[in-house]
Amino acid sequence: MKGYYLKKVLSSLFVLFIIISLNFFLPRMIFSDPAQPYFAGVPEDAIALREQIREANGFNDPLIVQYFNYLGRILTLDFGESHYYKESVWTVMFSRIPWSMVLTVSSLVFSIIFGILFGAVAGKKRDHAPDKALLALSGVTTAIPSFWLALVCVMLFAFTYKIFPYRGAMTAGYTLSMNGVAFLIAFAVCMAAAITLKLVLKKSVFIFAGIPVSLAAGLLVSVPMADILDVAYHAALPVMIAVFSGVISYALLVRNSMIAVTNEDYILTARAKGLPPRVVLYKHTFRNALLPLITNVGMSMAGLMGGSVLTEKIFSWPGMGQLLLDACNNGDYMLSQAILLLFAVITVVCNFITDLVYHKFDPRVKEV
Amino acid sequence: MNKLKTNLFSALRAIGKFLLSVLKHPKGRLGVILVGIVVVAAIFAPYLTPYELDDYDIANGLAKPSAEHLLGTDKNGIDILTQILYGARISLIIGITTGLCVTLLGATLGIVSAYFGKVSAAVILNIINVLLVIPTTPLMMIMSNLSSSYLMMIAIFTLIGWCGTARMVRAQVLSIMNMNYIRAAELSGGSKTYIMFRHIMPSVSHLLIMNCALSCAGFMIAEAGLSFIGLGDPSVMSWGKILVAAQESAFTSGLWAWVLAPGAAIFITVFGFMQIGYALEEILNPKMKRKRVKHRKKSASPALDAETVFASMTEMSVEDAQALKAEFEAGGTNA
Repeated sequence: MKGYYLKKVLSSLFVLFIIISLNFFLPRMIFSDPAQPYFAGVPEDAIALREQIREANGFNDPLIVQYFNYLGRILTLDFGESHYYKESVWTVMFSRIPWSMVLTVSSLVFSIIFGILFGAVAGKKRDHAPDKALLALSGVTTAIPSFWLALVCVMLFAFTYKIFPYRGAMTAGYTLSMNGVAFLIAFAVCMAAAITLKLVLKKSVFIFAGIPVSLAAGLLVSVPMADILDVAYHAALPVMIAVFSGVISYALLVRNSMIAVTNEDYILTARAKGLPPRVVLYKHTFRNALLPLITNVGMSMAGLMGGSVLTEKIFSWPGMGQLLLDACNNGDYMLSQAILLLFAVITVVCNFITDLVYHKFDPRVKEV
Repeated sequence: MNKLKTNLFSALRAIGKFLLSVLKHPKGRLGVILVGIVVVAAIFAPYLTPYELDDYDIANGLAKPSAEHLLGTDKNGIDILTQILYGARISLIIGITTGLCVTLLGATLGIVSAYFGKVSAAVILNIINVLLVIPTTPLMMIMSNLSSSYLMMIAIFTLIGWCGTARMVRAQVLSIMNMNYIRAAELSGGSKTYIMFRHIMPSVSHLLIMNCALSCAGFMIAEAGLSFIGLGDPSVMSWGKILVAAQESAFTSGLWAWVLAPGAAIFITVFGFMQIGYALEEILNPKMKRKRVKHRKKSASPALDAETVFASMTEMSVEDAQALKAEFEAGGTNA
């Protein structure tokens, strides 16, 4: 078991190393001059000044020296300064991450909940009305580009009937105020309660459930209610669209997995034992059918981060996707490479957590 | 010469038969009709519309749908329907080319990784691992700074997109690699390359053809998305670009057709390709065929039904056994 995790950690580190190297070599391929991002605001003909900048940033060193300098900087988590925002890359990113999280996490949670419900109803019996409805829907919804759906919804709900706001994450003029101390206290209290419950009742579910619950409690305590409602009002439309395009795939996954589990021998055993169908369905079939969902959620967490570019653009949502798009359009390479690396790190971490959780819930994989 | 002729003839006949079977399949027919409409629109775009893409008519800008402009006009007075017809070209070119390239590259690397020794497997699997972790959309956004030509978009899509196909093919090849017919071919002295093309390729071909149709559809959506965020080829008209312009000015003026039509075009094309893909899966997958045959056999020989066997073993009538089975299948006994 330990060997497995060691291998997993090593391969994750290797992947991150490749991505860092890619970040180093990409600007040398994309731009005619790798120092291009550093020249923001410097006129074309100021050759002496450009040469000075190039020398100051080490672009005249041999490539291998530049490479190791770059590795050193990344390993000390120094991403430099964004040339467009004139601020440290970290500051710029940290002001955007919470907004992306609001969108990503809420749409993920709602899609999973509705996906499980719909998938369980459809997977209960093959070829029944809900099952057929799900299959037909999945054929149609995968062909609908979600950004177009977002556009149509914006036109319908924000312009024709002015139900929802069409841009931004908060009403203009508002700023989000957050009491950091209150957040930390609430978070710590809830986590402590969860850990105590785990130690007393010996069920690790409390830890897994405790983290999101504590985060939510912290936010509820630290952010004024009016602000939360305002953000929720602005997030409603983008989240609904994300849920609509995400829910069918989760439902399909649960449905397929339920049908696969129904054919397992232990379901036959459960039925042969004379258990009521309800118990067989919910305690044996349904619970086991949720296992593949763990892997899928872990994988899609990272995909949602990157894939939200379109939604964020349509709704002018101040998240990471929008930031990356602006960074690409402004040639702000310091920022875009940091975002790429951050997304990769999130993916690697999510994969790792997924693996851990999966092992926790499915003891069968331990034998492998 | 004669032999070549008959070979060619039989190959053509096989292809014709295959195409006919796609047309006979209800999903396939629907898909072929939808894609056919889009292909005709793309090829004959100049003949289907009296307008050109550079027919500026600013006085007639933002016009509502009318007899002259079936879907209205944009800010510069350019006909929207014309834009959609021309947009079909780039969508089809990028979708089909990328689908083919991804399938070819993915299939080759997938088979090589499964069949050609440990070193190639390790190299390819590591590349796949890296590609799976790299967030695709951001990488594409960064790489499209390289060049905004649509050829570059095809290249980037291919470089990033092959790993899914490769993984699928690899899994399939691994599952058939130890089958007797491959062993027999090895024992009779077939080279690895020969076996790869003669024996392994055909057994994964159904997956590849289906995958190709589905990835065409997927890359069309991706192309529309990328050109919507402004990373498409600025010199060609594309459906994503029409939607960008629509977002800028159609909302406030209530020009519904401008927003709905490009999306509907994307939907029709993508849906058509997906239907063809599903139809091909059902036609080509040997497992699905075998199931059908098995099913027929079972119903043809009721003497081998489980109920009959069960009834003969216990002292129960066949009807009772069938009733018991039905009760069991309906969800167990009332314990």
